[in-house]
Amino acid sequence: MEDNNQMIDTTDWISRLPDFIVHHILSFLESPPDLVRCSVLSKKWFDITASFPILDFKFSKFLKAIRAPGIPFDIEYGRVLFLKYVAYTTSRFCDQDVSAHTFNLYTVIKEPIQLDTVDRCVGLILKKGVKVFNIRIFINYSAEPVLGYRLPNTLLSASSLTSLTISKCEMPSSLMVDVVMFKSMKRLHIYNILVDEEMIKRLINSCPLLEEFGVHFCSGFERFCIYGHQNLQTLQIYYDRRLEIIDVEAPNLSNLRLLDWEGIGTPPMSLALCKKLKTLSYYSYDFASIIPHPEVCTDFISNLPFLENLFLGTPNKCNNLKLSSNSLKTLVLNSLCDLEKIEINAPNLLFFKYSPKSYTMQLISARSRRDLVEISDLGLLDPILLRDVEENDDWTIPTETELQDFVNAGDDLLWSDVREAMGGNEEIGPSTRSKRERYTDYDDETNVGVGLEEQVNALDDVDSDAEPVDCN
Amino acid sequence: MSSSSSSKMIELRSSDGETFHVEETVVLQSETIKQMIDDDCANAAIPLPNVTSMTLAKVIEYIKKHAEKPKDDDDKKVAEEDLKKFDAEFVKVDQESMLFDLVRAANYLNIKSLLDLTCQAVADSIKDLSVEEVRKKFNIQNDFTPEEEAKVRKENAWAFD
Repeated sequence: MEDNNQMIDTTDWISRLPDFIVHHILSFLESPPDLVRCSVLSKKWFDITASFPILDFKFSKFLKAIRAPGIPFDIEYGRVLFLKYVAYTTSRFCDQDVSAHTFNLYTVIKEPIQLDTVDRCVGLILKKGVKVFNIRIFINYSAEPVLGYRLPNTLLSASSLTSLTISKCEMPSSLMVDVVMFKSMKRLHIYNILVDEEMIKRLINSCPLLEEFGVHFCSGFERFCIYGHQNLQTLQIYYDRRLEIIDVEAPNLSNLRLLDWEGIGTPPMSLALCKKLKTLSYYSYDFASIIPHPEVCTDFISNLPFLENLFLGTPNKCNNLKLSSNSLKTLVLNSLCDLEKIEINAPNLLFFKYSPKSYTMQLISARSRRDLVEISDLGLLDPILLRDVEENDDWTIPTETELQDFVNAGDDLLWSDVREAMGGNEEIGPSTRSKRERYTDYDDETNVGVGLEEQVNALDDVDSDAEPVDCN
Repeated sequence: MSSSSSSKMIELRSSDGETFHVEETVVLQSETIKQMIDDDCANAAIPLPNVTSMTLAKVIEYIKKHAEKPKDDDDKKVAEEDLKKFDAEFVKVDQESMLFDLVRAANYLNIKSLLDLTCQAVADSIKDLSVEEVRKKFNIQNDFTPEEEAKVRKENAWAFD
């Protein structure tokens, strides 16, 4: 293309960069083959890639990278390659004299021997000062039902951990007897795990610095209790009917997110001592529910005198909603409930957003997963799609600032309208026709800010057993 | 509303002796310089012995653009789009070496967004290339013997199809 007589620059600039910058560059290479290719560039690159401290192993991502679209591919052969890659990369890293930053391992296990590989890699990496550890191992042997992967007891002494997400595994057997050394832990999420009340207490009390805690679709406890935790700021609980009470005393808790998976309302909650609790999201799904919902009970809001921001998603069948709060400033309502049947008494409300769209329909619902698999059996749909949905592992929660941005982002759409509608101290109810029209215009803007994420999370776990279907 | 309240100017001196005058508010994006100012070391020109004038001019262009504040919320979206376009153009440099100079400068000056932008650009230029193409592009000398290389490739043969 260009015929230049200029001196051609033959300097190897990239290899001259310090290793940590090359690692930073590598962190932007998402695909496993790119990383592996970098390891054979030269001896120096072989070493640099060996000490790359981010070990990201997600079977879905791996499969997507190595599989040519449209060509039949043996998924189980892919899994063999994947686990070999995991074992090779992990042991190569662990031979280096450096600490690990992140270790992610998400896969389904189809053979007992594969579990040995997982266990060996987990054991190795836990000795390497890993900070962020995310694991989801779903055991799916063909015949007999098996328990989940039992995490090794060495997990409990990994004092370097700052963030831990465990999904579908079993807690280390010595959780209740050994010293748990999660002294740096700031973020802890558990998904689909059998834990009892004592185990939750034990976990929480072992993490003095914990700022964010999430319990998602876990069973084995009727009471969710946290007492006197000083640093906890964000709490997520996804629950079903088995939960009888939520009792939290955390003076710095500012953000509580409840996902009512069966649309049964909230259990009795004792949150009076959470004096900084300003933001609450309560999303109720009813596709797993058997109970009709004549009315959404929002009594709990009147017991939260400091609540300023409420993100509320009512069940689809909800046909009556009342809420009343003197402290509320922001309300984002996601509901199919008839506007005439909504009664809001919030004299200090500054921002209100109503989205009439059914939020459970915005993403493929868990219920339709089976349909998807069936479609993909017919070859009409790339089965990887399922994995893409599952892949969305952003278990993040909006921080106070992000939330503010979220609110502000909506502000420039609605601010003048809201102010106008507010008038003085009069009640703000979205009961006029013009408002209804106006709000629907903003449907796709920001209303899913909270709900969407939760749905993805929810899907993530419900769909975890959804394997890509073999095309053969 | 005019915002002509003259902000304090900071003087920066590149490795080849050229001086640049930049508003303090702009230059604070560099954590390194911010630290120097906080430590009261910025009364005279700040020497930047690791950054050439050519690179420094580019860095200043970047931080000036990123210091622009949209006037009101209406402009916010437009400004974000504009900034995205600017960033995309910014990393399209004539010479590969300039990109690496920018990576080094961003690291030295500790400007995280610029470091991410330039590292992302390098990563993007590696993506989906074969081993041979990457070596050629970046002048990387292959010092493996054919046997060694074959052995390394064999470990993860799926990556080379």
